[in-house]
Amino acid sequence: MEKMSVRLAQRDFSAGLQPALDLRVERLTWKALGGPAEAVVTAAEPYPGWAAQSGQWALDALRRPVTVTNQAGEHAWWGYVHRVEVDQDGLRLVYNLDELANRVCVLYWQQEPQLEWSGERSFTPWVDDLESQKIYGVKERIFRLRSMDAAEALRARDALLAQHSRPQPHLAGSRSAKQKSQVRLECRGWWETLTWKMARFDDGYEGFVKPAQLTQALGRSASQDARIAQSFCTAYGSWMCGEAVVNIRAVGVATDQVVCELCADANGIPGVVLTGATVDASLVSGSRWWVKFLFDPRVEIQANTPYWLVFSRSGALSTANYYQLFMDNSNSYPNGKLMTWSGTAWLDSAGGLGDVNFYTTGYTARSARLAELAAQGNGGQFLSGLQVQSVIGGDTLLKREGILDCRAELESLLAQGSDNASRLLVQIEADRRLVIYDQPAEDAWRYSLDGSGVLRTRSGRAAWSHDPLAGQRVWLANNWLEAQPLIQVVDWTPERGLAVTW
Amino acid sequence: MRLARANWLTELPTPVPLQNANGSDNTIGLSLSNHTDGDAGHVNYCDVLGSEIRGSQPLPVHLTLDVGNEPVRRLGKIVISGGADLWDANGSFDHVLEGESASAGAGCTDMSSISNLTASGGVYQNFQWSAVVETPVCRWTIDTARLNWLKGRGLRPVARFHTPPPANTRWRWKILPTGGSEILDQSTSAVLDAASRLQVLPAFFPPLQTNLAPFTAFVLEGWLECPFAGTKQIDLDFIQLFPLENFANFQPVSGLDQEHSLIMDWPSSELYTADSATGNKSITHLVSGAPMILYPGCNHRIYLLYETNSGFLISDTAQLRMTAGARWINP
Repeated sequence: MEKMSVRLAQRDFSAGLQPALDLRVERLTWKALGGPAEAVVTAAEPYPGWAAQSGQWALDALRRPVTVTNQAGEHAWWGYVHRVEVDQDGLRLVYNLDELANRVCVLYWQQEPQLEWSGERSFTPWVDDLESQKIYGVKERIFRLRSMDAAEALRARDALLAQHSRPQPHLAGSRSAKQKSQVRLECRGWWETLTWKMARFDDGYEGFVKPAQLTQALGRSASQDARIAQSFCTAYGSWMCGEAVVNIRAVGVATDQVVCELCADANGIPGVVLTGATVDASLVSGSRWWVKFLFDPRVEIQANTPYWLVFSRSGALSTANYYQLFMDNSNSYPNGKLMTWSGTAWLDSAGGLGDVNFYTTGYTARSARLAELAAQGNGGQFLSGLQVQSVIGGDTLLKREGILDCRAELESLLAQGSDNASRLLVQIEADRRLVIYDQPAEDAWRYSLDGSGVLRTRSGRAAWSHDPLAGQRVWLANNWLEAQPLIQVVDWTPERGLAVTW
Repeated sequence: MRLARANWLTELPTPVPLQNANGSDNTIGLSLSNHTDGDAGHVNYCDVLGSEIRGSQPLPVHLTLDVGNEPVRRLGKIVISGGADLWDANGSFDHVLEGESASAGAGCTDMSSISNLTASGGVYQNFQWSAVVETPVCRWTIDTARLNWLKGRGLRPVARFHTPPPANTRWRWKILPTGGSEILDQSTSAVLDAASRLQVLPAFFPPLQTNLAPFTAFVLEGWLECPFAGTKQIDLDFIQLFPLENFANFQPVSGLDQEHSLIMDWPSSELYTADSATGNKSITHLVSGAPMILYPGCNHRIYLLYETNSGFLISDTAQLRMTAGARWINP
C-alpha cells in the first residue's frame, strides 16, 4: 500500500504551515477528462476541545489547494477543498461550496405585447460580492426565476447574492457521543472549477436588424442599382466572417442568383474582393425574409477596420424581375453606410445615412475558443496555463450567450475531436496547467494489467498513484479483450490500491 | 495496575559513527562537500557501517545538519537521501551523472563542454534546443554496474545547473532500451525552478522491480519542454541519483543561517532549527518525503546537497551527525 501525505496550501497557492490534523486519504479518483477528480480525506480530532474551533477551521479550509503526495515523493492528486464535514457540539455540520455564488444574475421573463401576451427572456446585469470573490475566487450563478418586471428581478438578484456569497453550514445529522469526532474533507480537481464561470462572449453578430420600412432595389438599372454596398466595422477583432445575412425579397420572377461579395475598404468605397457567396433566386421569395450567404473561405476581420458587403445579381438587369432589400435613411447602423453604383462611381445613399437590414455572423477558431475558455478571465481562474498537444482545426460561433458554463462549452468543443478524428482528452497537471491531447491510438498502450490484476508499465514496474493512468490505454495480459481499452476512471483506496474502469 | 507496552523496545539514542573521505568513526559532525568529483575529499555523502547498526528492527534516525560559523550564508533548499547496500569493500554505487558525460538527445540542436573551476569536475555542459513541445535533449546510459547496486529501487535525481534554467521549463524522464527507441517508462513532468540552480527532478524507476541482478543497461533520456520560441539552453553541471526510499526534501520557509543547526528527528517527525549558541528553536524549513531509516547489519550511505543564498556552491561544506536508538522485538 502506498503511503500518502496530504498538504494544504494557502488559497493564493503559497505554502504555509500545516494544520494540526493527521490527514488520511480515504479515496482518490482520476478521470480521463480532467485528471484528478475527487479525493476524500479524513482526520480525527487532534486534541480534546478542538471541536470548538472546528467551524472556523472548516470555513478556512474551503477552496484551499490540496496536494496528495505518495511515498515516492511524487504528486499523486491535486485539487481544492470543496466540502468539509466537522463535528461540533454533538452535531455534524457541513460547509460546502456547492451553493456558493458570489457573482449572480437573474434570468426572468418579462411580459411583452405581441400577437398574444408572451414572455421575453431577460437577464439582469451581474452583481458581484468582491470580498467573497477575493476569498474563494469568482463563482457565477444564473438564477432562473418566474415572470416579473425588471425592478423585481433586480431586488431578487441582490437578495440571492446576499444569501449565497458565503458558505453556510448545513446540519447533516447528529453524532452519537460514542463516536469519535472527526473531520472529513471532500476535495475536487481543478477541472471542476471551470464550471464556476459562465461562457459568455457578447461579440459575434454585427449589423442592423430592426425591420426597416424603405426598399432599395437591386439588379434593375445599370446606372442606379446594379450593385449596392453596405459597409460595417467592429470595435472588436480579429474574428472570422462566415456569413452575411440580408433582408430581401424578389420582385417579379428572377431566375438568376444574388451575389454577395465581402470586400476590403479602399478609401471609403469597396475595394479588393476577399470572399463571396451566391444564393439562387429560387430561395428568395416574394415576401421579405432573411437570406444567408455562406462565405467559403471565411475572412478574418480586423478591429476598427471597415469592410463592405457588395450585392449584385448574376443575371441580366431587369426592371420587371429584380430584388429588393430593406433600408432606412436615418443612420440606423452608425458603423457603416449604404452606397449604390452609378455605373461609373459609388454614391452615398441618403447622403450617407442609408443602411440596409443586414447582419454578419462571426466565427473564431476552435483552438482560440478553447484558449479563451481556459484563460484566467474565464474558466481558468485557477489554472496556470494551457497546452494543446493536438491539431484542432475548424471554427465555432464567436458569440456565446452565457447559458452554459465554461467546462460545458469546453467539453462540447472537445467532443468534435481533433483533426485526426480522434477523441480529445484533458488532464490538469500538478502545476494546474490544462493539457489537451489526442486519445492514444489503439496500439499505443502504456500500461498492462497482468493476470493478478496488477497494473504495470511497459518496463515491468507496478504502476504508482502518480502515474497518469486515466486516459491511457491498457493492454490486458490475459487476453480478456482483443482491444486495448481506454482507462476512464481510476480509483485509489488504502485497502485496494489502484483500480481502473473503462 | 496493568502496564502495557508496544510490541517492541527502543534503546536510548546513541551517536551513529559516520565515515567518508574526510574522516572516520565520526560522531561530532562529519564534513560533507556540496558535490562529488575526483578531487580529494569532494564527496557529498557519508557512510554507516552495518556493524554499527544494532537491533532487530529498522530504526529511524535523529539527524543534525551543522552549518558552522563560516562562511556567512543562509541555506535554502536542502535534500537528504540515503539507502542500504549501496557500498561494500569492493566498490559503491556511482550516483553522479556529470553533464559532460551525457550525449545529445534527438531534439538537441547544439551542446558543448564549458570549463569552469566552480563546476564539478571543472566542467559543465550546455545543451540547446528549439522545439516548443517536449523534446529529448540529453541522455545517459545507466550501465549494468549501477543497476546491480540499485536492484530495481527507484531514484530521485537532483541536478545542479550552473546557471538557472529558462522560465517555464519542464523536465521529464523517459526510459528506453539501449539501441532502441521504444519508450518503456516515463516519469511525471516537473516544472524547473527558474530562480534556482538546485533542481529536484522527477523520480524514475529502472526496469524490472526485482533484486535479481544482473540487469541490462538502459538509456535515460531527459525530455525538456519550454513554450518560448527560439533557442533555449540549460547549463547542466551534474545530476545525482538519490535513492527514493529515504529521500527528504527540505523547503526553506526562511533559511538556515550560519551558527545554526537543522534538526530532523524522524522518530517523532519533528523538524526544527536550533541556534548553536542559545539552543533556541525556530522553524526554517518544511520537510516532505520519507524518513531516514537504518537497517541493522546493512551498510548505509547518506547523501546531502543544498543551495545557499550565494547559489549552489560546490565548494561549500556542512557537517552531518546522527543518533539512533536500536529497536528490538525480543531484546
